[in-house]
Amino acid sequence: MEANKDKKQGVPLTHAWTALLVFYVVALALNAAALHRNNERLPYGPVRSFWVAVSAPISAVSQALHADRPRAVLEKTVGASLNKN
Amino acid sequence: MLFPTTVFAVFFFLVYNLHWMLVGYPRVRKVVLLAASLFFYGFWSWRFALLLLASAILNHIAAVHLERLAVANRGERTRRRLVIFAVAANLALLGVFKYTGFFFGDFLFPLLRPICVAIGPNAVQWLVHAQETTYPLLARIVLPVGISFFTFQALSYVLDVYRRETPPARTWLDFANYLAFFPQLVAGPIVRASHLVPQMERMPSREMPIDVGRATFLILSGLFKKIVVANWLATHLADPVFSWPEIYSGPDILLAVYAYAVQIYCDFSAYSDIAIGTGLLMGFNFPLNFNAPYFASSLQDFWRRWHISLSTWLRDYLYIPLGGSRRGTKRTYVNLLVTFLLGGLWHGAAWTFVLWGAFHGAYLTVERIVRGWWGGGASSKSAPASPWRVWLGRIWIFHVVCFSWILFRGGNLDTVKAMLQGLWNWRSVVPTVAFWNAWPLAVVLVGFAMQFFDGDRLWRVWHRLAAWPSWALGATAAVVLTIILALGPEGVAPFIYFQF
Repeated sequence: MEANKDKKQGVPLTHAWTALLVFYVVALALNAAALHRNNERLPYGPVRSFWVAVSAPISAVSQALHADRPRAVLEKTVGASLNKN
Repeated sequence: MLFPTTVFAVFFFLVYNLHWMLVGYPRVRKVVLLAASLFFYGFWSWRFALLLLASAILNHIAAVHLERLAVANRGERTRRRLVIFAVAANLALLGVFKYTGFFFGDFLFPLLRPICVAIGPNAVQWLVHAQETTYPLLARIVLPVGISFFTFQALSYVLDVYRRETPPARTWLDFANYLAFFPQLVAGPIVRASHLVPQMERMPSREMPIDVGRATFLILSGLFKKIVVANWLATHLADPVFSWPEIYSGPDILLAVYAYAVQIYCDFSAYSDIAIGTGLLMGFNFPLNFNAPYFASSLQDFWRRWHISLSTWLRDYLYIPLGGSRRGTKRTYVNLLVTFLLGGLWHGAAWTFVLWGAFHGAYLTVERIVRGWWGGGASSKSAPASPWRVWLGRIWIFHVVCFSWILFRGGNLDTVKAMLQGLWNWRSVVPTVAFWNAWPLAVVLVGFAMQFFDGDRLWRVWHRLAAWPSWALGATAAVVLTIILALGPEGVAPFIYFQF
């Protein structure tokens, strides 16, 4: 068993890179609406304008695909109950 | 730049891709890595990024000169002077930014007040004038984030080269990358030069296997600990009670102290986990920094499990050079006290941190004495203790550490006193305030249980994760991240250890 523990657990770089890319795409799809909401709350200025311009179309696509629903449901149920004052 | 933010996510994606695309151009790759680290640090203030660069230049020049003198086998006295200068310069940097305010505001002026009153009105007038001119200057000193961490790394590098335990980095760029590497720059782990400089010199190759299972697990568990557990415990339990302990009952104060113990563990170990995880994705390996600290059965054991990189640093560069346990019993106790007093002061410039360090040093001394009475001394190899004794020891040490967290978190002696007095009040002065219900207990217990993830206890899970198809691993990680974000409160609180 100890021998197994010492074995290299690594994977090739391409495997790690693909996993990271999929992670970013799926995470963006699932959280785009919340991200856009956060960006809209930034103080007015060029930084806000940039981030809102970037996140708006992604959020629109995410909403059209209903990818924002799981997070919204979780936030309304468990999240709201957990974080109420 | 904070880890759990969109800005960091974008930053990391770009740096990760550049880092692996530039494998064929090692020098450019190192320059890009340093530029990325400076950008990460400069996000707080570009002036502090210049300070970090200056520290890298000074320490590398000192290390190279120390090595040259050693190779020439001459000038031992010059080597000694040079290392003293380098250590003094590093400590001066830390002193100016971190301890000037404490020295004047909490030490010198309070000390001078009764003396000036005794001398007479002219002395009082002089002191008032001195305070009026000094305080506005002190208010302008801003503490660079993570200065204690990178200064300790720089010190360990210079001292290791002086002791001939490690050679200086091949190039300044390698050393600068070691000192400024963004995942662990701001809140550790404090990595030794002998561990990270060789990795910076040879840089990870494309053929190198990436420990993606462990990295994913560490990053996600770190985000959960920080975003869900630590933030919740801070806003709902620890912060309200520590800011106004007078209105809470004893049981609520006790729960808030437990909550703070779990909060600081989840907050700090989360940073270490995310740092180790991002380092692994980029092909770098960092040492372990936490190993289930609240399962320790003695305070000595606790310090082998809590902030391991700091406790080993203090042991190797302070306790052992002071003589360690080699110069008799009394000297050992003095060395322990000095080490922990300075360890406390490292955490922050306030008397409560000094008290916290003194408490740990004193308790470790008592623990050593008691262990000596029970037979065998510090290095006893007697029969293992029975399970019930181990568990009693764990519960006792957890409460000892919880008591010390009151000193640590209190901020000032009035709050510490109010917290300790409040522990004995059965009822709150405000009857509607009561914390002992399902959510607080559940979050404290979940945070406490996160210690089972420390060390390599879950290596089988890392193995299994690494064996998943890449798309499944990426998609699952994204779903878990979404759950974490949905459960966490809005906004991101900075990590506690940023202030140190």
